[in-house]
Amino acid sequence: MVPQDCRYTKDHEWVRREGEEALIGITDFAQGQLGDIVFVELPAVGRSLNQGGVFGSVEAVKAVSDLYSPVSGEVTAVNPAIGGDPSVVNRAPYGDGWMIRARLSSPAELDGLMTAAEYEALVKEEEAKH
Amino acid sequence: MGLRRTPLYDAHCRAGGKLVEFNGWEMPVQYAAGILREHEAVRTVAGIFDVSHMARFEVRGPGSLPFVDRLITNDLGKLEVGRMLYTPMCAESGGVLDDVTVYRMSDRILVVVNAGNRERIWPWLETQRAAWNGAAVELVDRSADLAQIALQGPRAQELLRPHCDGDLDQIGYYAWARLRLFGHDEVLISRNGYTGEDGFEIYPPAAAVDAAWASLLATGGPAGLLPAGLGCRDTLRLEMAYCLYGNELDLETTPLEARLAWTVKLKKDAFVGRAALEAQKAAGLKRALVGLSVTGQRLPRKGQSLAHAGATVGVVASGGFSPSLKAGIALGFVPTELSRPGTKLEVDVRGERVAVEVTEVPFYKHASHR
Repeated sequence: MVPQDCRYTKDHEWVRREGEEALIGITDFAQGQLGDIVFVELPAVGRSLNQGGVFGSVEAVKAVSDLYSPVSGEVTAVNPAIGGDPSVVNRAPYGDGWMIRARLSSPAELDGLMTAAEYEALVKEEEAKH
Repeated sequence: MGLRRTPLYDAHCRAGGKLVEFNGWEMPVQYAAGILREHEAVRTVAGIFDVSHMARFEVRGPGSLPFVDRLITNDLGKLEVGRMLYTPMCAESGGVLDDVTVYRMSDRILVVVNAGNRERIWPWLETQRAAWNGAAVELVDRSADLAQIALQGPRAQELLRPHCDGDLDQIGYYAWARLRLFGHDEVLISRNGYTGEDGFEIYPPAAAVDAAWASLLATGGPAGLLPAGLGCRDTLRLEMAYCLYGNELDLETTPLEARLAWTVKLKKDAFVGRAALEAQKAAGLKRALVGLSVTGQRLPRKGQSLAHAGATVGVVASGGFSPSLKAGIALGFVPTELSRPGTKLEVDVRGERVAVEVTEVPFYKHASHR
């Protein structure tokens, strides 16, 4: 089950709207595919985000993966817990493992993202491939 | 899909193995515990690996020893029955066809070949046999009827003892025996591995390996024994700076360049590749494989370029995270004049310059192997 209160990208990021801002992270499926995460590179507060643009990267033991922003806006916070313990993303990808908070410049972009039901269908499809 | 599966495929699924394609095989990159915990288990207790995807070729007959000795750079002639060795097999160019382990038995030689090279080495052996003028030689592929598991870790012997009727202490490092194991007579077992830890490679009949695997995990699990996947096999070998074919070794690389000069015995009888290796040694090496320690958290990866004073000088052969050191480590090829420990280089990690320094290997210095 993926959280119902988020929207999702095909690259397995989630975004959860909180008023004019939103939290962004990677999904449980994504962390499972990556395996043990050892470093997360995140943008500085104040950096602007473009929907679909790279905003950071995740280093897992086996591979590195880019992070794509689900929305446009400006970074207002990065999760301070990740620097000390990147494995929080593996343990709680939708909770304590959130990555950045952003002020939304085009909230309507959210409507174009996948709903929880649509994302679950995508994950089922990808799991069938494996 | 057409991917091949080992006799332990069901066991991997039961253990929550994350199966990936590896050289045409469907193999677990990790199990439920994950690469970091599996790595730690091997360093502190033990882990058990399915390496049945490797190929097991027997060379039988009176000519087997000189036949195999001519195809490897290491010296099989000096090896006693009951012992084994690690060696490259080279092409005439001196480039590495494969790196293998070779077991000397009284009437045959067992050659254990990397999964990714089995389609190359079997025809190579057949071609060499067709041209062979010495005593009779027969080639037998044992890959399907024998499985292969690696039990690795400081407590490997203790965890294997309940399943073994023989004396494991008698098996020295890089030696083998046939013992009653897992209820089967005459199972081949050797003390060697690819992790730096003490441990064994065991070759049960394919039909018996699922039960052997399960019983080992049943008795060893409470002590901390874990099934271990290819992911930690790679992090463990990289910490020891052991070569991986396709990364440090290929047809364009000689053993001398890849820190394997100790396996090249130029004084023994003629072998394939000797002329090229002698010439390279006489001319001096132009490039060398070195260990690289990484400053910062960005991890170098295979194929990224190495720079010195702004100019590209080499390439990363393997790179990643060392779970034991909790830092990035890499192996790379550099010009010989830049191979001295302490030399500062830069890796282009996806557009960012990451500082690295040539360092002594192994990276991990507390391994338990003897």
